[in-house]
Amino acid sequence: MSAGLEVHGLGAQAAAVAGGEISPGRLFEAAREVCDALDAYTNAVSAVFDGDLERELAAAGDGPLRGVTVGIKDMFDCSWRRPHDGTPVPVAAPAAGPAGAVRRLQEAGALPLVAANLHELGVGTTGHISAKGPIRNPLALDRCAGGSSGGSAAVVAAGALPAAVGTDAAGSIRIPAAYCGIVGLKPTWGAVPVDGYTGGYSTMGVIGPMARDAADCRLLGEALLGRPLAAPEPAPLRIGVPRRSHWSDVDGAVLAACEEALDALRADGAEVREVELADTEHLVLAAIVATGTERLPQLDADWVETVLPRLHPSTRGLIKSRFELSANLVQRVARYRALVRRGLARTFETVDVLAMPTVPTTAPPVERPRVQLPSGPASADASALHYAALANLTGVPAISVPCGRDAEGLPIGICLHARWGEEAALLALAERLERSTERAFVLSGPAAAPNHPEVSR
Amino acid sequence: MTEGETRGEAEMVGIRGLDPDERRVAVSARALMAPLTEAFMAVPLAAVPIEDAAYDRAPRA
Repeated sequence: MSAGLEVHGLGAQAAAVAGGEISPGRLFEAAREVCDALDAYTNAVSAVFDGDLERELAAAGDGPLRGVTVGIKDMFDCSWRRPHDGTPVPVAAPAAGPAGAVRRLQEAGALPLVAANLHELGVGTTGHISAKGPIRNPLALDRCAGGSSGGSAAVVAAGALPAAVGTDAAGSIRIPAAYCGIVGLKPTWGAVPVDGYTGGYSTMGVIGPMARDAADCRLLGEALLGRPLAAPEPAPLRIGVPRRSHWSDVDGAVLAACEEALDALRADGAEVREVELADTEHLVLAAIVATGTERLPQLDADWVETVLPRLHPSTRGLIKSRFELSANLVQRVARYRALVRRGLARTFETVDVLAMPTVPTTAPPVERPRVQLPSGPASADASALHYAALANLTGVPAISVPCGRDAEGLPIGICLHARWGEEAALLALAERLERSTERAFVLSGPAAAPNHPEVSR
Repeated sequence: MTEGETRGEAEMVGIRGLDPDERRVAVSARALMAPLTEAFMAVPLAAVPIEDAAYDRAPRA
């Protein structure tokens, strides 16, 4: 962070404000300074608040995050900005006041004053397309930050902000969290109010916290979900590992790091057993159809005339091609989701948590986001979707936790899934993993960007 | 939408066709989706009820 500011975590910053050691104004100014610098080479920031800070403070409550500046994905109506969705233009629909998620943050005392950039319209897992250009990974600028909440992940990973809000309709919190080495929680579908969120129409999407560690993720998560997420009583834990479907076509370094995470949890008392997930062969197609067609009713003639032509050709082509998907396919996907949800519910009768790599590789290159799997080269989007989509199609909560680095120093994440509504259990397990690995993979202090030393100033 | 064109519902919201860049993306999307769709169409789903208690356990904000 900025020179002279040594308090980095969300809980630490909140405590420093509460103890009178630092003012909300000083925190905000430090955040603005670093966000501006970071944005110059990562495109992670859509906008920083430039108004009357005292007014924002007056609107904020006296909750546990009083006076702390946080980031929020640029998909929400804020008191100071209309959402842009990673495009050059704000949404045209009339604003009905701050979004529900923003109100929850304000009630907790937080100041959501940095709008984080995202993959254009949220339609990609890489973040390499946005109105501002590719969102670069602050840990390796030639790599993607991930998507679609790439800006939220990047500002947290770089130490510009202690935490940020993301959204996840097809891995969009967990994938960038894994690529950037931070913790990202996708809550249960429906757990956070969606008014004022541009993706609020979706049966796949949910709003969630992104932070450097599980404790900070819990703090922001409690604000968003509006309920305590305290660790449940320790109990014997059964972790299911779906090796056939989700551990078999994974990069070697990712596989090794995730196996070591399982070993650490096993050494900490968890029982790890192999499970077979039913009917998961079509997760990628189902996710593409569900997310792609749910958007179509949002499109109207005015948007098509004024906004669509200003988008990246890839986004335009994708949006238009979604009209090709048949009603039969859409309805079959709805039934398939029911099938997968039932299968998952049965699995959760025998285990408490499901574990798999968050993504099968580390962050792909910005210039050409393809990845190399044991089975051959693949699209970064499609390969990531196979892992991420299970939680979105079924609605269960899932969390990505850093668990290693590859030979180039790129972060690796493991994804833990739990039953509907069991976010607290996931956060507790994430903390157990952090403890049992001695927080070796938790970023601390300013990011030390390996190929861009300016980031660490 | 047939190759290089948009019709029906797409036209109703003002979409008039694909430029060359968009067409390249659409062709790639079709190439990805075709084998996935073919495999998916073989899944027996006729008897699957859409109601799902597990899904409905999700709390609503």
